[in-house]
Amino acid sequence: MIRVEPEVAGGLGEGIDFDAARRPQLRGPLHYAFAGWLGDELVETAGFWIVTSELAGALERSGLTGFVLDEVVVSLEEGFLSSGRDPLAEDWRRLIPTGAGEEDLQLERTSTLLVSERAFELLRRHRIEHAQITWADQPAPLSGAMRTYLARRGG
Amino acid sequence: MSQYKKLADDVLDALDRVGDRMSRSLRDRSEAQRRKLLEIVEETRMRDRQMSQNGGAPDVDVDADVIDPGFGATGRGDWFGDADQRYRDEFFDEYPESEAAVVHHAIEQNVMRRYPSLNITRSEMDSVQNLRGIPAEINSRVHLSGIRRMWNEFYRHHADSGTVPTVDDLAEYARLVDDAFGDLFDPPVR
Repeated sequence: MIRVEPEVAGGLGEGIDFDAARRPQLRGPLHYAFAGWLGDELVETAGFWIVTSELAGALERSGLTGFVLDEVVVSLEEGFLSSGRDPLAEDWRRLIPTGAGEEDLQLERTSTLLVSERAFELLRRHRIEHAQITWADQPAPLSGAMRTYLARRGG
Repeated sequence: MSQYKKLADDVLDALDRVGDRMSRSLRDRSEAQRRKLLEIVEETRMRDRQMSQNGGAPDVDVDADVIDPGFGATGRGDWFGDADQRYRDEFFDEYPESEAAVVHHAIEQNVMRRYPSLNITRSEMDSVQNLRGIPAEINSRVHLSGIRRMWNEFYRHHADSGTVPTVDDLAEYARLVDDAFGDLFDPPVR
């Protein structure tokens, strides 16, 4: 499997009914607020992924397994910075990885996306220029900030 | 007639030459933009590697005039203040000399929606201690994207470990992000 860490173009939006301290954490629709967009068709905020309608359509037609597409409310944060080359794509769908075993889209722990090589071939035909790509059997790359944060906690 | 044909040929030649030059110019500009983007990405990675090797702060000179909001803070009251106006106004009232093109939140606004149990208020979030200016001359889109990626790691870590961070945890992580990027800010934070 391949670990895909997409562009982080924003976060949870205003009015979302989410609380990391309760179960289920999200009630109602996902609201993704774009803070800036470098142009990728798959973007995330920890535990949630959204894709352009073009990529969603390609996924639906692909025969790939292990995912559900759902609605998402999209908005722009104050001060939103666009990619500079394209306006923000208008239509987005929420991508929920649900797979296990041999399925094509799965979760690593709770909030990292794993895809099969077959699924990755489809993704790379779309724009995912800012995603970090690593093999799932290798350790996930961490920023210096996170390594320091974990080291101080003995992790 | 042949004079007209020669004139037409000359015009077509000239248009071809102009077209070639424009095409080269656009190609060159696009290539220059691509190189600049790669330089910024590489610089971001270099800073991150350096910070990791140094166990925190990058090896940068500290200017006596550098501001240090929140550094050494140990509690929410030490990190956050109270804003009484919109955050950009709050920032430029405090730093009127700043030429920042973008003002962003050191502890991201997203934490208010991700961790509502922390009860971080809008006034705290928009307080000047929590605001950073990014100058126009650096590529704010790319740098802010890098900063969001760092915060995303933080959210993932806490999601995977089933924990909710404290405000102190948020402040500590914001300091680490400042360690990586703070000298680029206007005014600098490190």
